[in-house]
Amino acid sequence: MADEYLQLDILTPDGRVDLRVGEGGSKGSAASKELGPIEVEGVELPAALGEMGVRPGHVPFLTPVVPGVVRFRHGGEDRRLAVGAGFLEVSEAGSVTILTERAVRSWEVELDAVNEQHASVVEELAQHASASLDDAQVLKLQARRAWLDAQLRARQA
Amino acid sequence: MANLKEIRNRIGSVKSTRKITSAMSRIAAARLRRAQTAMENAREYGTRMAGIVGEILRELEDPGALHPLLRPSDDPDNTAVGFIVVTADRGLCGGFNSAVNRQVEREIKALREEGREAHVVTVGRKGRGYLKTYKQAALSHHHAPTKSDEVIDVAKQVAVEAISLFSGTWKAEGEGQGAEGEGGEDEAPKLRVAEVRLVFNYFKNVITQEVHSDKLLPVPVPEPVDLDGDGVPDPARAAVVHAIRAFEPDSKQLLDHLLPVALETAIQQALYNSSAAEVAARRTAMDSATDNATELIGELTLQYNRERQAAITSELMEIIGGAEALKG
Repeated sequence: MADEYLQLDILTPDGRVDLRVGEGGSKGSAASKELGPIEVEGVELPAALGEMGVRPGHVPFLTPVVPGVVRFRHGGEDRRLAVGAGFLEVSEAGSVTILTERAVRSWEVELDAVNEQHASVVEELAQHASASLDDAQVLKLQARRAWLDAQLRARQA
Repeated sequence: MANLKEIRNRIGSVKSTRKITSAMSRIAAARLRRAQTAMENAREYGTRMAGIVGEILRELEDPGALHPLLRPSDDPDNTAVGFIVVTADRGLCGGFNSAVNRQVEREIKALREEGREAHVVTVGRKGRGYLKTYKQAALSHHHAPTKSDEVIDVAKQVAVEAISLFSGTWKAEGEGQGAEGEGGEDEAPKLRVAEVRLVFNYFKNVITQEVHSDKLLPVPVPEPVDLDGDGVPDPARAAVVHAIRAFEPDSKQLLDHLLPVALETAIQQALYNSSAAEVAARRTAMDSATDNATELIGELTLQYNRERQAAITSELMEIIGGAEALKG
């Protein structure tokens, strides 16, 4: 079995993300703690060194995750989630855990609100264009923009 | 007679106080469950993350040389210490806020005696107010978050501030803005600290909160211990070795990502703990306030009845006395 399926699990500070819910399913919070990992054939995610895919039999591995989109197939459907910064851990037993600060399912992205915030963050960043790269304000804005970008891509892609 | 009325008024006001405290206690009890669940959910994430960070730092050879956030400051003039003080926005929760404030005050006092400076970032109004009376203005202030989204945002902002304070890129905002407006001069002195500490209430259980004062920066490298305590190396080990190899020769890149996340997670955990602890502390405090009020009402009622009986008795005595006098 270990050769065919991966155990996928996404943990956030909000709890474990319920990966079983399909589009139009329960509108409850994205996090729930009773549910365990799901079985998937593979998963694609945004790692710090570039987009990567994990298939069964992957070596034990650990890598940073940057804000972006996680893709996998479950229940015959393609699923996408926007995730924030975090870590990916592939264990020897073939379980994949994504530890991320936040996760939103593609269909839960509030497109209008995100677009609006995105525009205002970009504008504010433009005002700080001359500031040093280490400036706390710029770093804050860049982090926000990355997260908003991730949500937009999850929605569109 | 005046005394009777006074007691009656007193009973009335204690009763309405009891109504308020018992309502607050009930609200806190309802919120407690939610706050506790949020904290427990976060704890799983936090311990996994701390485990990963600890393992990577342990595995690296000489981590201090690899990243500035791991290195104690090499500037002998830089002796200041930054504090991140996590309290609540509201009071009426027993010793919750004052415990943190006293701890911070003690630490700042010790530093001042050594001639070292302290800089403070506050989360929660109560900490800022207290420190102001102690002549320690906060560099930056955040509201105490209650919802999960807010916790993540605030943790992120505080982490960025902690890093910029530690790496010496902090610009004094409040006073700096005035100066910029007048002469356009960017003369605000850049602040720098040699160490950042995080002071918060740790939620031990529903009735006990502990004040923790943890060193955040430079990021402490944990001792090589077995986290499970079962003598078997932790399962992440192989993954960690692969991770470090994958980032060879540039472990700095790995740390660049790892350390801010580690910092944020530590702050997030503190915020979750603090908000659960706040609710728990308020519930306990309001519970005992309600009990006290009930007790006080009992005492006052007894006193009231006694006084009333005394008044009646003395009136009777007067009437009987009058009747006796007429008879005679």
